[in-house]
Amino acid sequence: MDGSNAEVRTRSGFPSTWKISALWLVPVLFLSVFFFLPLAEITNRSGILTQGVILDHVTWGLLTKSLSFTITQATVSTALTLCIGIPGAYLLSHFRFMGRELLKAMLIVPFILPTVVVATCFNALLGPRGLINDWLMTIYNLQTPPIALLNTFWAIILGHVFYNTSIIILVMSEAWSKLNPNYQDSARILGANRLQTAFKVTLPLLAPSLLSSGLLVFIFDFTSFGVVLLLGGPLYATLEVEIYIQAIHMLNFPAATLLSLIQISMTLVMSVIYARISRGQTLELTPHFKAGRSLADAPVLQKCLGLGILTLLFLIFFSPLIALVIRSLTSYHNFASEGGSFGSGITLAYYAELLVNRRDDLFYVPPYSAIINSILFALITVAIALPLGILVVRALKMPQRINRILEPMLMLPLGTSAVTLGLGLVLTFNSTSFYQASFPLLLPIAHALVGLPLVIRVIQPVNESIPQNLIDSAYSLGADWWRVFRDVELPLLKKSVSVAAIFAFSVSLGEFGATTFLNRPEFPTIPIAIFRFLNQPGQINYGQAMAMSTILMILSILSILLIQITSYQGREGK
Amino acid sequence: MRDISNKMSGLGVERLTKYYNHIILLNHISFEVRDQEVLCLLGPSGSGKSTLLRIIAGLESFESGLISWHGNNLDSIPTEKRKFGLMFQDYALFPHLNVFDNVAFGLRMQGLPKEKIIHKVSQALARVNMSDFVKRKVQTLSGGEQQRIALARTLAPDPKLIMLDEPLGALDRKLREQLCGEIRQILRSNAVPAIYVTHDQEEAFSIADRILIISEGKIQQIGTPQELFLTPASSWVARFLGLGNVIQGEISSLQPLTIHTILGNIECTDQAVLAKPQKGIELLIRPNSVKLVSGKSAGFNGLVLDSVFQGERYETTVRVQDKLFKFDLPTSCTPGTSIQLTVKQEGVTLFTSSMDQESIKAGNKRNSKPKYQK
Repeated sequence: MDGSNAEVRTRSGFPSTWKISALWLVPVLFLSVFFFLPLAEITNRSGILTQGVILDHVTWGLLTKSLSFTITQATVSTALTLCIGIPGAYLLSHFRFMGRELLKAMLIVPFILPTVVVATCFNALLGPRGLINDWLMTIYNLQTPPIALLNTFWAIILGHVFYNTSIIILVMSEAWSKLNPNYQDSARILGANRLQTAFKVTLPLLAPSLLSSGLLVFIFDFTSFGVVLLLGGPLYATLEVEIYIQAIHMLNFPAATLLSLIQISMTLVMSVIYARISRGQTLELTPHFKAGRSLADAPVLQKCLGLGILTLLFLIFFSPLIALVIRSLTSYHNFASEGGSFGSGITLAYYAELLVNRRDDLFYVPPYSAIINSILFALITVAIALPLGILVVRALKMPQRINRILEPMLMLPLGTSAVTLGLGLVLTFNSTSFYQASFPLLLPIAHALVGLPLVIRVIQPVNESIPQNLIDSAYSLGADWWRVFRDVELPLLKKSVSVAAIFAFSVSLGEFGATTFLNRPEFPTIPIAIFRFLNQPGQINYGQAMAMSTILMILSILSILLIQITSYQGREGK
Repeated sequence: MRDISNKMSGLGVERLTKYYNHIILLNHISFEVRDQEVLCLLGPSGSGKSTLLRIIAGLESFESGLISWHGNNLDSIPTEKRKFGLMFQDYALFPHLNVFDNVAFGLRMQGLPKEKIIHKVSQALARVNMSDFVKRKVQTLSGGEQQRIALARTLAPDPKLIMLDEPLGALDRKLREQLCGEIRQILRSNAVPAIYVTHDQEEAFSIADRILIISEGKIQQIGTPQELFLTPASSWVARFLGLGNVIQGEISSLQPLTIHTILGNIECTDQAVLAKPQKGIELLIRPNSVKLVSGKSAGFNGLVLDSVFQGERYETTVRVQDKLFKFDLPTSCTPGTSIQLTVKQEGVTLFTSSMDQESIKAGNKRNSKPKYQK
């Protein structure tokens, strides 16, 4: 290894230490200023360093209440997600059935669907003005919506189950597909019945995947912000939401920063544990299942159970998305009393309304400008995250001691919640006033920080697979480092860079946590606009929230399609 | 060889038929495994051997037929209650358990007391010479060691029938030869019927009491190694077992029966083939069934391509009209020279053309088709 390094050093003409330092310079500087400085500012403001931990009974109450709620909801969410995900994984990895490919393709959707869209989806389905309530009111001639799920504990759980079931299914179905059936058959032959085989052989063999996917879901539920804020309503606050409330509504920075520190340390510990137990496991976004048996030929009991689970999965994955689209296109007389009704039936009025700048509107600009802002911010995010990501990936490829120190540092933003990130950035760079951020680039910078780990994880494996011989021979043919990068490495990385760019783009489009802190009223993004629409009374605002969400959902699904098409072509090329 | 002819039949398989994705995988398979007998299932890969084992173990369903044990239908008996042992080609040692727990798995399922389990595990490990490996993780074992542990795990619960699916398939040649001998020893000393699946005929010949040749879902022949060698049921079996040169021929005269081939006219005594006169006939010419002749009276001319010293004989490659033959000759021949040979009558086996039902039946008749106990 050292010998070949020495060769690389001489051929590339640069001393390796110099080169690696140059590569690291920009990313490290960027992270120091926009991540570690805000982190230091949070620590500073919390007063931990000067006064130690001050926990007056108000802060203590906030902490225990939000922490216990966070853990409770995360536990219940994870348990329920496992209950639905494991049978789903079993079905997908063992059976053939109609719609399997569709379900498989849908598994990736929740990964990239913004939290705001998930919230509006469930609002459109089960909210007081939602599809189901409207039907029930029409059928039974009711005056008030019969289902009051929104702003309850179970609305949060439902949102989380929608979000995370696909993680369990992806990980577990992959593990199940790879499990050698001879293990189970051997157990049967040695005298174990089905139940004994399940507990003594199958379960222990699947345990690592079960543990790691369960923990990942728990971490996601633990750090969830948008779903809790938008579906849980004012009564429920997780740590994350409490940080937001204390900082934005109460301007109680000591409490907010203290909660942030606790949040960071807890997620960090969980992330380290996750990294440990998930070592060697990969999360395949497009799993390859074996052919499987036909569900139609299965025994009756199995068939009924399977169909039940399938119905549930399709309901969970599709009905909220469909409800959103329907709700954005229809007006209901049940809510005519709220004023601003466009009559009953199919209408494009909500979409049209997005183009109008009303005097009493939430914005000084027509709402559609949020779409333009979001796309602009997303493009800037890509422009920041992509070069940083490529620099980091190139630096990581050189086997130097410095990488071992810097690599974990890079993954730190992943463990940090977006809310904490937003809070830190605001506290650091916005000394004058909270709502007049004097630094408009802060928003895409925060988005880039959120997206950077993803960009790195997409490009790195491809970059690692470029043989060093190829680069060496380019140097030996007389190319300088820039020509080698431009003419050899970049073309080979093209596919993965495009995928990373789309990921960064869609992360920015849907980012909500940090945006709530950094957004400026005259430059709303799509999620912020949806959030504000939802918080205003009246059917027009509700309809506009639905219309805006539908647009965001379509943008997100388009990026998923783009990613899949791009990676598919990449695979074909190989 | 042990005398197995009068033993009771343990496992009975009758007219077993299995389809997979609408393709017939096993086509009316009938055979039996007698007490204390080692039966080899020999056939090319993909011939349904492994599926047959899985069906006997109760791991796979089948469309029609009957599997019985000492006359009792096994249909309603689940795998775990059959008390058969099956060792997979990939061994399938439980990766989450160590060597001891792997071997003890079946004993624990029987609910044996702890001391008994410890005793039986060490006994089983001793039989495969692996006593020192009790605490080892299975991932740290070499292929041969895994094979022995898998054998110990299969033997430990004292199964009524042992099934081994290509037990040596994953090992290199040297280890195979060594372990083949050991397995033979263990199976013989065990006095429990065994089915041994392989695609390697040398392995089958050295281990089996009887061999069942299966191809394309059908039994091609069943018999002792000696019977298979001396009276192959079809030209396919002769080719598969590598018994010699198989050539086409046509009956040119009936009295005496004479077959016209590219090796000249061959006179035959085997009249069985005439029971149903066939146009196309195939002949097995064994390597040692020719002799060098001189003069122009009989025989055929061939061009010597190669002559390899093999101790008492020379393996000689001869070309006759674009076809290559291998003959064993007592003397060396110079490559490039032409020789004159004649076929000895006793070294020729006749087959009616192709491996159709007729030839298989004939083969079975010759090898005293076993009667099924019902």
